[in-house]
Amino acid sequence: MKKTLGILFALGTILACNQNKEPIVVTTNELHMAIDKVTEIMIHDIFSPPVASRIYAYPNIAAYEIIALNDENYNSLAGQAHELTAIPKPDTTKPINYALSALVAHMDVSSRVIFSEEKLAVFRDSLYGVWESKNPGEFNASRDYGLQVAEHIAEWMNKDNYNQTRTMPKFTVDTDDPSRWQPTPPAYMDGIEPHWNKIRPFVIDSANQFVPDPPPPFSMEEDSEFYKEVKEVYDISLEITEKGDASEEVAIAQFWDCNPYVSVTRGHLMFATKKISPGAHWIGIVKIAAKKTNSDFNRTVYAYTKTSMAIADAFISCWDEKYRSNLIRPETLINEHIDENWQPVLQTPPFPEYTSGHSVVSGAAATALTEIFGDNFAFDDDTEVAYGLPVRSFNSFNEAADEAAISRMYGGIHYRKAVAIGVKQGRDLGQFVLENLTMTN
Amino acid sequence: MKVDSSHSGINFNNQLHDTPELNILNYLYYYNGAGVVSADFNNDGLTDLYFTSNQGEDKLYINKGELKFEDVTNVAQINNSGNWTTGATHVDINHDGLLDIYVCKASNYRGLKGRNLLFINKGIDEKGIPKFSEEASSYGLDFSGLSTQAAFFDYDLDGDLDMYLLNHSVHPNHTYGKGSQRLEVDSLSGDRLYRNDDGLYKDVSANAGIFQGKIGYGLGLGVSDLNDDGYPDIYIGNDFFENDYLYINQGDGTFNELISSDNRRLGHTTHYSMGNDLVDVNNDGLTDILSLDMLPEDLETYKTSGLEYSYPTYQYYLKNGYAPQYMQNTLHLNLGASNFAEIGNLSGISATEWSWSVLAADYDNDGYKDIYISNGIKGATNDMDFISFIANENIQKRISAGMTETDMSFIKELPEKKVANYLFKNEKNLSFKNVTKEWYKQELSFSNGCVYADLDNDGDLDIVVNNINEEAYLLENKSDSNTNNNYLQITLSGDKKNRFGIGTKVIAHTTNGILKQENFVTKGYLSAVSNKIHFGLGRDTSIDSMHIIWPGGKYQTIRSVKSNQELFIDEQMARGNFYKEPQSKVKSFLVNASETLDFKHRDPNTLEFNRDPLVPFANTNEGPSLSVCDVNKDSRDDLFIGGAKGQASSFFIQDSLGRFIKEQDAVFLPDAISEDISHVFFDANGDQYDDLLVVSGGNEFKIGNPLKPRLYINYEGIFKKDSLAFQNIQLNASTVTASDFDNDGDLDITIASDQIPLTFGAIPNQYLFKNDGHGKFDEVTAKLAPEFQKIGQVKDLLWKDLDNNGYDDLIAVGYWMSVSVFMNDGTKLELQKNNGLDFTNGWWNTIIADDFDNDGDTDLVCGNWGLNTKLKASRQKPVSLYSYDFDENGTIDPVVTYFHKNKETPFASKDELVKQMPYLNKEYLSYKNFAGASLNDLFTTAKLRKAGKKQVYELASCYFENEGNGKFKKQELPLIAQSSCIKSIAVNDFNKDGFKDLIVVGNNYEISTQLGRMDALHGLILQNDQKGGFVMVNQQNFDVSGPARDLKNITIAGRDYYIVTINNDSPIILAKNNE
Repeated sequence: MKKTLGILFALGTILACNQNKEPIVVTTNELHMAIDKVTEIMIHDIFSPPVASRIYAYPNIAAYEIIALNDENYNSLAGQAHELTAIPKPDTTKPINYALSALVAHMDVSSRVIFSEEKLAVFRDSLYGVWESKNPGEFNASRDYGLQVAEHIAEWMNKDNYNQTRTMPKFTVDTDDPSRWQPTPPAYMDGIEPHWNKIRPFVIDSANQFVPDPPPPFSMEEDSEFYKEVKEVYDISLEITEKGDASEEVAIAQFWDCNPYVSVTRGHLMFATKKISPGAHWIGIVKIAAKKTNSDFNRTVYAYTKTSMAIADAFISCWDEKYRSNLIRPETLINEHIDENWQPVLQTPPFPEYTSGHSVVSGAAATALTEIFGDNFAFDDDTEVAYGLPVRSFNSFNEAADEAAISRMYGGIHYRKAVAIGVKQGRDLGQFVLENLTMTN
Repeated sequence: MKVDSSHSGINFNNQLHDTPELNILNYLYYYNGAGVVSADFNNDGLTDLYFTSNQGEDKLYINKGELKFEDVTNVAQINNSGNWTTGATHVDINHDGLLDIYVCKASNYRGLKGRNLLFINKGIDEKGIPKFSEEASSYGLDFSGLSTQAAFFDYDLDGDLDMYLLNHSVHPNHTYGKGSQRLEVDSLSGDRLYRNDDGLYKDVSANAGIFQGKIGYGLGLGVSDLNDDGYPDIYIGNDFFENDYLYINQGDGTFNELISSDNRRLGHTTHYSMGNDLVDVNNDGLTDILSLDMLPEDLETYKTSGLEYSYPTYQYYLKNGYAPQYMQNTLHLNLGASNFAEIGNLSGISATEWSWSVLAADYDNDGYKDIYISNGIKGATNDMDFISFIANENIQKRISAGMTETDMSFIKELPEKKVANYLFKNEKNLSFKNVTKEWYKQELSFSNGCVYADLDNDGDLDIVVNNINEEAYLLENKSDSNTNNNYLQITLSGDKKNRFGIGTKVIAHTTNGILKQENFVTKGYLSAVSNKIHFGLGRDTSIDSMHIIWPGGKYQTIRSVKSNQELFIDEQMARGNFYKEPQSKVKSFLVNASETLDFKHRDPNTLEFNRDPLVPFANTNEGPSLSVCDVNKDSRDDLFIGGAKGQASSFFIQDSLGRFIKEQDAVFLPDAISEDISHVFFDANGDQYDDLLVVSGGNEFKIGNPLKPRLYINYEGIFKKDSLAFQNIQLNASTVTASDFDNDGDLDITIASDQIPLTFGAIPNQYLFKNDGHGKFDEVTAKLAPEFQKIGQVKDLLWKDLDNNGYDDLIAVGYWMSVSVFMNDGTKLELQKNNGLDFTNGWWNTIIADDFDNDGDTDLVCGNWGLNTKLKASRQKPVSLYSYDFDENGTIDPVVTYFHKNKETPFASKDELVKQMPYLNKEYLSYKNFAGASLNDLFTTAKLRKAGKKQVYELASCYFENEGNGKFKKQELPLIAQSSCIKSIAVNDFNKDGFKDLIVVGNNYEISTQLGRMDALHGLILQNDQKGGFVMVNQQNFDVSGPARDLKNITIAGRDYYIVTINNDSPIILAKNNE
């Protein structure tokens, strides 16, 4: 009886396998597609740049933790990232495809942090359909494990103080202090995420670990350093707008705009045109580098994870400084003191000026990418093609970061110090992240 | 009743044909529609009609009688089509007794060409058809720009007709920028005032003080003599962020714009202003202002529409040089003395969807003007889901680059709001009843300009409406056969250069009050009514007396005018100057005094909406209060006034000349940080000198010294702080009183609290302190009044022996709580039930007690939130507060709900809610889904059940008559007293009839921008009608504008005064009028 059963079981298995025994191969491209999908949804849902950075980091870590478990080249982040504990162990008796589990976990964590889940579900279900038809056993086991890990990561994520910061007070506009940040045209939005420094960082010790030098003291005396900075923004803006849209500086400003909030007004319409955030642009560059180097699935996950953690910490550090110095934007001062009708080339984003978020983030991201893919890594950046902007070519990640930083001055939304000190703040922070993470052996 | 075009012959249709070059996405006023002019062009006694068409052909219809019309456009040589036509009006510009037509065009934008047109009536042919010739240029009126509408009237009273030209802007409102932009001149968008210099019209805008900036999105134009000085004034409704303009004619050829110079006069105005009408709606002889906006009555439309800026951002907007404006229709009730009370919500006309034209006229001839409102929008560009759709980089690029045929599909995504026009019946008590369904068969339409006119000469007003993509409506009025009401019509015949008597005022004294009409024909929206004046008279068959006052003041008085006739009045019969005649004036009981107090309260913008964006009101700007006492025993009243956070309270001694001298600053300076909310002078220690107890609040501090009461002992006129008394409690206080509640001969203390700091809706402790007779105080709340201790968020209280048992009883009012009476038997205070006050939970601010009906017992009057916001409350449909951590992040979310019709709905907008509770954004991606969700859908029944729940059943300020036996009968104060929140009340027998009257003050600026701003009270005297009620006293010539907080009687140099404190401003002093 026992024997018969055994034979029957074996037969069954063979039959089943004959039907659907094809091994499932999860491609690197599918990973890129999943991340692109998240980017696309984030544009639709409109997340502010700091929130967007959080949305990238957690799904990547979920995927990374699974591949690290199964690939000795990579080390788990448990114990390295703050408060992260080891993910549940898989049932080794089951036919688990770790890449599949990683991608499932990635998509599941993603769907928890975005709003428009539907769009991601369509993509996920199409993948599920293919995988299931190829090998239901492997698919089910791998999916279940992926979801289990996603749950673990989500629990960790939910303790990062994000939900608590939702009900904290809005930023208060102190209208008497002329140096303080004021809402800017055209939407005059509240300052976004004034409590982002209360979000748990991934690697850095605290939000104020990399406090940059303060900006020059506020003064509208014409010989003061601060006034000169204001004037410089105005002068550059006049110079480059004179040259027109074709000028290199305007092209640079627009290429790195990455403002998910650009408001447009047409009569009763007042809305934001939607673009990617600075973090999303650098995530796009990860994809370019991974593809160019033909990185395998695991290395690609690794690259995304490390870069997105550096970016997320960069935002925490930068936002800490923004609401510490609370510095007024060039647009407000120039309109008040120099030229009432002046408009910056880019729309001023709704938060204090110092330091430049794009500069800090680009500095951090480029530092991480340089470590992963090497310095002097030339690449063609086509991230913005989908948004009607051209391809730009760079000789290295650092060159791209420097250009991203200076683009904010060309755009008329930052003073020189915020850019120069910002990119240094990002590089210092990036270096710390690298030194304190042991992800590869 | 609608008359079919097959009968009327009116098949005019304002058909739009959008193209990639010109459509709603590149011309923001593409769906604004066109107008109608009604006038007798062929002098046959029948009113004819002229329709403008945006893109098609204008049409002239001659009235053939019996509501049949003939299209004579071609024969009459009217030729206007193409490009873009907006409004039109009529005028006899060459004073030949024949009415001409002036037509406005939008030009010099996106390929639109053309000039404004003036069709001169050259004469009437044998078939009764007038012939026209276009001659704008020879009058200097061939303006080419973005015109909306024109009005002809004699602003300088020189006998001829001048013209105001209203233009609109297409300025891409990238940024609203500074309000001072209105001082610059924009040649296409700036309004113009033309003076008639012997038939040539000269632009005198700049010298006359007319704003001509690019931010003037002018859509509404009305003319009226608002201040009854004989000089016509102008109201301009501007769309978007720019203020409306109220130009007060100075009589010297210039105008003073009132809203930008002093926004307290009108309070707030419409935000997205469309058409307006300046008429007297309450028969007091003063012209009121009706202006339209786009607030939807439909809840789902409301919840999917763009709303006001949040409070913090709104303050920034005000700071940039703009006056407060909110998305709602407004009714500015003229109170006289250039003060207006905006009562749109109170009167029931604030929300009529995307509205264009308003015409107030007596449609049922009952003696009171009713209201017709046209509305509807072909594409609602403020739909949040559409905004979300169109907010796509690619789509924007395509629109900016120049649209193509395929891009036209974007427009299909715009939701249509095809809605029924509204009819409101005047209920004669300042409120209006929606009778849209009762008075005619409602139809959905996109309706814009409209006119009223008695087209069939049957004595009632018919209505004609210009519609987009649909035939015009002709609504026949059947009141002549459906009611027994009477009417009177008047046709004016003027001298020389104003043959139709434009600007003439007719005032009729009737049993329905003063009926006033002014002959200004441009009104409503893009349209002009006929110059025949119409009065409904109700049951009156004659009018006792009637004044006809011509421009310049000449007047004629006619007595015993029979009803139901058309009266012809000639200027030749007029004499004298009406404005120089002695006017019978109502006595003003109070006047603003010249005395001042050198104190300015400094309480900056609240931060409560930053902390808690979900709440409907802040509790941070409740001061100052004022106490009066003879501190130094010189028999003169001295006073103490509270300072806000960071500002020391001030003590003033009255000198022998009645001046107030600030003294003893050093005593109060150390506690400047406290926001002092209430104080009381009383003799704490029995030394016969009144000491001072000060309590603080402000809802800025959670705990600490700034929340401790402070006792100052009076040493023969010199105060010294007692460092020990009351130091063991900290509270956000609302009021403090001294009374002998234990009947032991000394004064005991009650300190009330309205809030646990920074915690919306939580219940704080209340305190009773017993005096040992030597100025030592023991807390006895738990022992004496356990029910009082946690009664709620107390705002005000008083002690009064209601049952004559020798012990003062306690009556407390507050937020989310009922008017609560505690009977004192000497050992305990017991909360009363079943006393007629059980379900009076309100947002009560203040209480006074007195015997108002002279029956020997104590009645109450309590000031509440009022009825002039969109919030309404009753036992069945309360305003509710659910306090619960809905998103489980460790913080209590205060969710306030109210009933919209029969649906309970959250007060906070989707945008505010999702910021606090991101899970809602995940569940309700679109505004449409959110709008459709019920309260239970949003927050789940289980959580709502677990939530702390508080309710409000009554928002009206009320008089509670003591019926004896401990029971009270509730009666709402008159409607005008509900126009704002009442913050303080004083009792006085102003008319000395032996019955006590009231004076009430109030207002509150720190409420959610979705509710607007409570600014309608300018100080109000309510006279005791001796029948157990109160009535408003009209035309009182005193002014308490702004957020009043406290009202106290004081004797200055032997005369009686009131001092009214104003939050964040100087007190106002009122003198009793001894005339």
